[in-house]
Amino acid sequence: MTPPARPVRALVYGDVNLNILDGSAIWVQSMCEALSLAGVDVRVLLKAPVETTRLIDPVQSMASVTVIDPFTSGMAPGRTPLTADEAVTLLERLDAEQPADLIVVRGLRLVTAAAASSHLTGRLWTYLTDIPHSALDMDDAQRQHIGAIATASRWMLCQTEELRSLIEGTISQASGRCVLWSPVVPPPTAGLPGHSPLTDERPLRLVYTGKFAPLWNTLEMTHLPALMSDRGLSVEVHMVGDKIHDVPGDPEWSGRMRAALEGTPGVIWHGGMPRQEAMTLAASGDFGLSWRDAAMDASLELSTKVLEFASLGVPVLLNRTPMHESLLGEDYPFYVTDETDIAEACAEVLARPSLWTDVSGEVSTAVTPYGMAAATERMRSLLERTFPSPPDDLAATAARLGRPLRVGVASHDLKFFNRIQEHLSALSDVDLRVDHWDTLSSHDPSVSEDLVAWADVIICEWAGPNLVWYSRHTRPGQRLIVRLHRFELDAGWLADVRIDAVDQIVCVSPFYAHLTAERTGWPIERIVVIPNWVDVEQFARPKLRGAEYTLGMIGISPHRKRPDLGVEVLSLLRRRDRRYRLAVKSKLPWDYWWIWRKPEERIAAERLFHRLHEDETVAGAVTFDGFGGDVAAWLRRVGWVLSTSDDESFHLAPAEGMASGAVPALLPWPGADTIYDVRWIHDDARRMADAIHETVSSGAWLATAHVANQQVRASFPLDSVCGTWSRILVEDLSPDTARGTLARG
Amino acid sequence: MTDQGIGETEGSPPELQGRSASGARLMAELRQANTRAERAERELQRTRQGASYVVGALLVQAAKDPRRLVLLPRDLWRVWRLRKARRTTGRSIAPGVQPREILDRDATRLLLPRLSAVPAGRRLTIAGALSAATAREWGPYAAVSMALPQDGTALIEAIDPDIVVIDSAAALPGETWSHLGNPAAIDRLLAAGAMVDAAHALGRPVVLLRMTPPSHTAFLADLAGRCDLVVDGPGSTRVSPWHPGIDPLAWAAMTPDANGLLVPPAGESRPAAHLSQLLFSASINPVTVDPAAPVDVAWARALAQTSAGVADPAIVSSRTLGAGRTSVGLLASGRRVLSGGDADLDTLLARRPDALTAALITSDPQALVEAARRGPPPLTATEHRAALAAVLLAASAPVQLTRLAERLGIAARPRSCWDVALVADADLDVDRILSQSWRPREVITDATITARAHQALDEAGIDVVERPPGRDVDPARLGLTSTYVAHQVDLHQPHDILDLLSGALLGQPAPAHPTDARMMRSR
Repeated sequence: MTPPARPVRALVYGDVNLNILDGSAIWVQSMCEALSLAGVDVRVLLKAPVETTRLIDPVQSMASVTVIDPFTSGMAPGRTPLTADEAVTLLERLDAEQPADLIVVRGLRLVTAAAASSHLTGRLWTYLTDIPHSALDMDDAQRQHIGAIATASRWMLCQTEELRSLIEGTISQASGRCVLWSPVVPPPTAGLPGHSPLTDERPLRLVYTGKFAPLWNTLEMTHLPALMSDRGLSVEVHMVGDKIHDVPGDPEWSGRMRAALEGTPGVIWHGGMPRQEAMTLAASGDFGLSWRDAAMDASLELSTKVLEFASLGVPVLLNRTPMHESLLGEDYPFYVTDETDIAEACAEVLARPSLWTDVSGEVSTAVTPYGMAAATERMRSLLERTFPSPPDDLAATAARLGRPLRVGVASHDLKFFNRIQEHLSALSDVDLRVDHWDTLSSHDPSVSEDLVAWADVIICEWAGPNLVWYSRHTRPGQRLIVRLHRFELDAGWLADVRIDAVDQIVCVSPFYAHLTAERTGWPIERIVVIPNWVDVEQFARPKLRGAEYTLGMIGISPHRKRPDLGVEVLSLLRRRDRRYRLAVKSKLPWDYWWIWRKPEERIAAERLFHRLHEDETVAGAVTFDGFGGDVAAWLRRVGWVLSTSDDESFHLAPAEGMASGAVPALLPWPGADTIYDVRWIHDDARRMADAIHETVSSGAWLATAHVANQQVRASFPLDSVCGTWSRILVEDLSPDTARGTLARG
Repeated sequence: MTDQGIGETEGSPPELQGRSASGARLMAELRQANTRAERAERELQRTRQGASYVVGALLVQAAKDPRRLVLLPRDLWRVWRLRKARRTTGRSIAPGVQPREILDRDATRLLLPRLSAVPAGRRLTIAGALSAATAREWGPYAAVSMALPQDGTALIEAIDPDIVVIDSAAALPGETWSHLGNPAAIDRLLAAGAMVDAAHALGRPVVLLRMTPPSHTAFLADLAGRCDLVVDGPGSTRVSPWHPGIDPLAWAAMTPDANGLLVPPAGESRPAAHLSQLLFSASINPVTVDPAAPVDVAWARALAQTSAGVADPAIVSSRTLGAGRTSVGLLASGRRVLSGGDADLDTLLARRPDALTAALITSDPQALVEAARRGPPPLTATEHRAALAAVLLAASAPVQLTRLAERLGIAARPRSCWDVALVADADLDVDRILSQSWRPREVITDATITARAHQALDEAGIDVVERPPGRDVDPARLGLTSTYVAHQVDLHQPHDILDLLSGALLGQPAPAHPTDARMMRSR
């Protein structure tokens, strides 16, 4: 992706009719506003001819936002709303006229069509809510379908943490691409009415805004005034909206709904309203209504209406669902399942008006993260990650060359380099190509020769035979950088490297930098350290209940990862508290043929599983949660990440755990103290168990996890590591980076 | 909850429950039949493809047709070649790679716990995602295997249980399937789904037991749709009530000998939390169950310090099923229960009016706190027996599992451990026998009974055992299957057999009784 040296340009298409007030239309408004406030030039394409400007006017008034009406500009073929294919064709045309840096699209049909466009792929920011919300119901075809969308997306915007977990847990391509894009509530405008004191002298005002549909219980809501009257309560139900659903199988439902809206005493139907007017009405209510059919309880979407009411300080009558509990707390007093609950809530606030006042303040605070200010911050952060700024030296070099710096990457395995590669590719001053070696030692020499002829800088990821080849073929003045991990130090080919041709040898830890110097005799001033990266934003997710009692291990094969020591720690802990458990995210030894063929590995596995069955302190307390890219979602259940290996070059797992809000616990493998703070390193399993139990039982787990999180943010966050990689393209790093410890904060 | 089993109590119309139960049974039977048919078809196909069958068919053809006889050597040679090719042609695999089946065998062998044989007499095998509490209460009455997410499918395939159960309480933090149903644990949901598929492939029914609030089980809706039966236990809503039962004997063994009050952790509702706070702030020597200790040890320790307990949760809302395990277990153990409201507990105790005083159920928090402060005494022997009788009817594991098996059309009867043989009078009164709340399994009579009476008993599943007139009852000689024999029962009292059984299980001496009734073990 070539980033801009000008304001970022976005194309937005929500595949929604902006004449109708509903959640999707409001989403388009919010997206445009957040982009606009983050300094992006936005063009938003309309789906349907304009019938009312109440939603479009506010969009048009936003800075740097242009509304494109294809029905008046002659771009649309007719006057009917755009089909998905027509919309994609128009998006391609608009992009051709003025290239966009990002294209925000919403809705499965439209996103599917956009993902199939070779012009748009890679720049799509996709937002999907209309996918199967059950992992069990998702079949292979659907997984492939959404997988293709994930592949075409730069980012997949997920409305809730729950939806993100579902997508990442079922679509492997989505891991690392899913970011949270919560519904956004605009700040209430000035002049909203204050809340009238609750009293028997006036009717209670219940307010509903949105669509009218059976699962939204809107018809049942119209019965509330009469039902409440039977209980001696005076209640008005104010309903805002003009979208009455046609119900397949019940063609008369919409007629009944309309009649109830128009003719029910105590029901005041306000029809459709501009958003701000609707919010003004909502602000005058005593309760917001978001009481829905129980079939909606498993929805992975969060109602924008709930957020709007709460932001106005209006308590909401709503179903108790996991998502609402996360938002408002388990002890929120106004969860309802039926009319009786609603009556009880009404009676309770009339009897105790202070309860209303307390809850009003609580709900308002609870939805602060859903405000436009927070959304704009999230958007800025996302834009910064997508379009990073190059360091000054790199920009100067590119200016001197009169073109972007040409960077070639040669490797057989880029799994540890992909995010760095993504970052470098996104820099406007870098042009990046890859020489993908088939295996560690086999490649197409003509491709490699072309890269030598083309590149200004060559990076060898892994110090394998690729380094040997490039060290012998680089041109004079061409910069050669190698990143060495761990296994290469034991390989024989390093002696064949022409080290004079290598400008920088990058190790991931000071310990391995020291070992490299010791074993190879390479010039120490060229050996530097850039740590592995942790995408801290991806891992920052709320922990699940009970996480402090869950130990986690990521990768337990081969046996030198020492899962047996992890189990020993668990056993020691469970002798004190049976709530401790161990979750393992890993393939098992028999899943790797090259491991399983080794007798010593089989013996170790036999011993391990024998203990898991026979030792009653650990039997049933260890779960093997499989292997996959959804580590960030998995870490939500984990409070401690163990690193018990015999040796490691870096071991990213504790760092990822720290980013997730877990506490790391390491045994002293060689070099651990050059990467991690010694406070996380324990002499042996017993001391590790002591420290874990002391932390949990004293109630210090959360605070300790916070310290760990601060450290990882200071030590090896993705943006900082990527920044260093941008620098090393044009300047030598100091050999001092290879001394001391990487732990900061 | 009433003694008809929660499936037949208030909350859902009986005819609907009947349809649901028979539907589940029919589905299970149909699935079993289909599975058997599929197995038979596969077996037949394998047989037809086998060399023995092919050679046999060639020989028969040759015998029938001389032209085929001429070709027989060639045909046999072809069979030999094909068989040899089958044996030697393997899939192309990388050097050192083992075929998947061998790896799967390794994985299964290492992952699965050593399975114990099904104990004789239990006759019901249950496996699945089970909470520790459910497994503990059912353990004495069924062969229970707790699956883990990684071995669920292999376990089901290995033991082919009668019923696969997914217990929502197993998804609570600290349990084996913690976070099942939370979208953050899609892996657990997929593992549970695979377990359901494995059960169905074997023709076994799957039951989703909801023991937690709807907010906890909302995301299990799709899993529920794949299960053959969904039931709601204490803590869930009244959609399809069924109490999973407790092991009353284990609780009864923990008799009260101290005067503390067991207080549960504060519940999620404000009134329950408020009540818990009041109880803790009153000077009542509150005792809690240590969540850190192994469950059995924790309960034994806590109960050793108490003579009474507060129901858990302290207040049960009208939409939630009550009579939770703690409340029912306390009653079975002879401890008085204080509750801020639990209609199901009230209904359960109302089955035995003598037991109503075993619980103080009041909506007045102050009255409850006052009662707690006074130090409620343990149950009297009479109250204990009556309370246990009520528990036996509606909330005991063997009875409830038997009801579950009946709903699923499974011929297993854990309740048989408490079967009673009734020694009947000469003037055998069938109607009064059938109106007993705990019906006998066998009726021993030395009189000739009418065909109509015989038929009525037979239809009720009661065997008639004839003994020679004047002879003593010798269970072995009579070939009785029941564990207990009841003598001199006053059939005018509809709970007489139940009360005798309850007293026998508690080891209480027979109470004063107009007929000198007694309950003896048959072996």
